[in-house]
Amino acid sequence: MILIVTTIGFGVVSLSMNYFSGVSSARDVANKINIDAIRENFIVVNVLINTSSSNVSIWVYNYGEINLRMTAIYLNGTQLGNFEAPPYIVPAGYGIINGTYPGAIGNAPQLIRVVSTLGNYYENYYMP
Amino acid sequence: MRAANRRGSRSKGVSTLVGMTLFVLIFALAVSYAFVWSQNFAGYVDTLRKELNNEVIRSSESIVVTPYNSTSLVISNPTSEVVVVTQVWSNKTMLWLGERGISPFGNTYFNFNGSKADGQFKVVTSRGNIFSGSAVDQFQKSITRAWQVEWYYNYTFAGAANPIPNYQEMVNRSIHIGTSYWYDLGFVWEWEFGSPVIGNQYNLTNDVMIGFIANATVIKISDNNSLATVNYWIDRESYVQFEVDGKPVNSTVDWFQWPNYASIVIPGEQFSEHTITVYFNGYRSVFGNANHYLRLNVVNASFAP
Repeated sequence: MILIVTTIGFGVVSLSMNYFSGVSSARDVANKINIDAIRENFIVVNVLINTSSSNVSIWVYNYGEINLRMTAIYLNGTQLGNFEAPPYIVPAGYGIINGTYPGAIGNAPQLIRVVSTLGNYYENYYMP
Repeated sequence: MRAANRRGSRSKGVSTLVGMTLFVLIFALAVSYAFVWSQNFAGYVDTLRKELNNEVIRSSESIVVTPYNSTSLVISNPTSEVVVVTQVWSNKTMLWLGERGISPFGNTYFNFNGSKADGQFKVVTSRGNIFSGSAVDQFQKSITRAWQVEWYYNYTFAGAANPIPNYQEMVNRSIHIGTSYWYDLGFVWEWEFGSPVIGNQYNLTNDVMIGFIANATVIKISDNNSLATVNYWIDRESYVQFEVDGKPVNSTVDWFQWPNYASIVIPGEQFSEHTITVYFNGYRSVFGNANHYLRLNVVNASFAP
């Protein structure tokens, strides 16, 4: 009887430890991502839109507390191709990201959204 | 029999004790992880709180960007917090990159001679705000609180008693010389006999009409108990007409000439905004030798801000 209780008991303890350990690790990672997402701040300070080549260059300023990694540019809801960006932009630094719109760009104000790897984005209208 | 029962009950007691110990162990494990998670959550909330504080400071950050001309500007900090300028842009070009702090109520000056600056500047601060200022805006602001004076001259109508038949014709049938700005609501304009005015290139001395149209936007500052007025005095050979809010103050007479002093009431409630237009026709004949002048004073009204 003692053997049975001890065996089952330690099995449950072992499973619990594994479970709590796994959940805790996941929580740690999620928590770090959430905190980084909050500490990440950036703004677009300049935009150059070449209507003849459909190339878009965007100057992004990082005023947050962590390195900034950009992942995508959208123009009027369409993701730009040929995306180029520095590996990261340091706090209080700026970086230039580029992309090419798959089509012609008119002379009207263009809605541009830049997205970071942590899911933050900055969106505004800019003139070509 | 009794011994067997005693052994069985001892075994049951031990297993209960083991089971209870294991339960307590698992419970302690759960509590300790819950404590760790609560610490993580507390760290998250603390970060959120700091970020909200930063956002409050960021949203209260303010600077005034005042371009002097197309290539230079002064940045003033009207707040009680230090503002750090990190970038200056103009004409989609970064003109300056660095860190320059502006102390509370202080200012700093930038000059970009030889650059591609176009007078429209964007200033980026370390807190991620963008402020802008335009030299054109500054000019527009300065001329808001002024008489905008358009000058005309005409030789064609010389020699007649009333050289330009009416004040509207002065614009239609004369030559535009240029524009001046008078920054006093009350002014004195004089054209002495024999002296050219505006510019010698026109040789504007005698047998000629020199006129101007002066526009100002004013705020009436008097209440119903006192009048806001435009008071003027002209010489006997000159002509004048006024419009308030685009309407001539006297629709039956094109020009006022005599009596040479008059007072025009500015209508409306206190703090109502009005445009005042002054037409002045200073004709001087070949044999004329009088000095022309217009002395004008506005009472109980101020330039609109």
